[in-house]
Amino acid sequence: MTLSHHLDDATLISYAACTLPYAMIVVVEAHLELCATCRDTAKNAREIGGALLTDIEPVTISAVRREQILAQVGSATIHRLPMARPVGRNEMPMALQRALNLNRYDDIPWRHSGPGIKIHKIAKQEGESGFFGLLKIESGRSMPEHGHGGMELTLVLKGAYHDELGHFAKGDIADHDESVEHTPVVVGDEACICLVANQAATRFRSWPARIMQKFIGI
Amino acid sequence: MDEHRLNQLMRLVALNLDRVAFAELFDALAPRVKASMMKAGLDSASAEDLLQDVMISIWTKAGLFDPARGSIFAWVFTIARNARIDKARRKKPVTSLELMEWDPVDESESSEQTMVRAQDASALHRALKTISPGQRIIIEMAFVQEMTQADIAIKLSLPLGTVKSRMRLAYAHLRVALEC
Repeated sequence: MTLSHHLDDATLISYAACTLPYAMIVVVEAHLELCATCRDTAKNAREIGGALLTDIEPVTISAVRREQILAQVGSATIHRLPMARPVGRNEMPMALQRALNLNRYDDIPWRHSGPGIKIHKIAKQEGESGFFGLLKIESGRSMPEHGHGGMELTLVLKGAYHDELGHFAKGDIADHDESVEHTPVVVGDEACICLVANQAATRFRSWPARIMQKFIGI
Repeated sequence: MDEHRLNQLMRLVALNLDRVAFAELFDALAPRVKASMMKAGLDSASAEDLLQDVMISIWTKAGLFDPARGSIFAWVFTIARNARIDKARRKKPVTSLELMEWDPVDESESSEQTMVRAQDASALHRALKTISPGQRIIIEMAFVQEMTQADIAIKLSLPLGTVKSRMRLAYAHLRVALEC
């Protein structure tokens, strides 16, 4: 699949350094399953982590601890190489299946949150703020124009939308920071399903939109 | 560290449960893994506790390591980081190691390929020495000190946008070494 919208290299650096919150990791990994370009970047970024590891001045390990660990490995089981992964067999990325414990969009317990908009929140990890979940927006509907409190990732899983930044179809990801304001409109025949993770409350600009925000909760 | 030798040792561990090979791996890797944990803020005893988890993971996952998908150093780096996240959080994170399993590759890597990558690795080390100090510090804060972009911005009194753009610039510089 050739995609038009990718992750920011800075996001992939943070992903490889393992400093992203859990919700963001799920969205990044769901996109990586669909995007060879970003997979390459993530692998390269991980090599930077590896190179920095070899650059570090080594420190001594206590002899007792060394013996302990070497004795312990004898009793640990070795994992075998897994069978080839069924890539693309299922409509839902595996990272999302793991986060949801579901593998079909039809099985998601959607909740109505306004005209033409349904949402499903996904459990976050303790201490993480912001919205993490799925949005299902009917064809022709738009989200209110909004800016962002912090980082926001929006991955298109089904359907497509259009906004000031371009056309976003399945697999495309919008990786925004706080400076971006946009009004996505769903285009095409089918509803658009997006996986969204953001760090801080999304700020809608107009007051009706702000009231709606209470209902939608993103 | 000799990457080719480490790959051989990993194979011996995976195929023969070779504990002598593992001891050699341990002596090559563990002192740097422990050092990296101390750089991220752990004291010596906590770093050794975590090191224990990491080294056991390297043993149990040796059969999953495939040198054609990335270097042993990148693999160990990711295992070490995941071990730390596992400990810090109750809920299990998505294991990013699986990323390496997506692209199909040849069954085994020839020693010639490993040599090519060993040259890449030294090119990467050289490139890391030539990026600007302003970019280098941000790369180190992210990868070694485990700091988020927002934390780096606060620590260096820089706008978040500047931290991101320096990360992008550093990556653009380093990828030339990775892809040559």
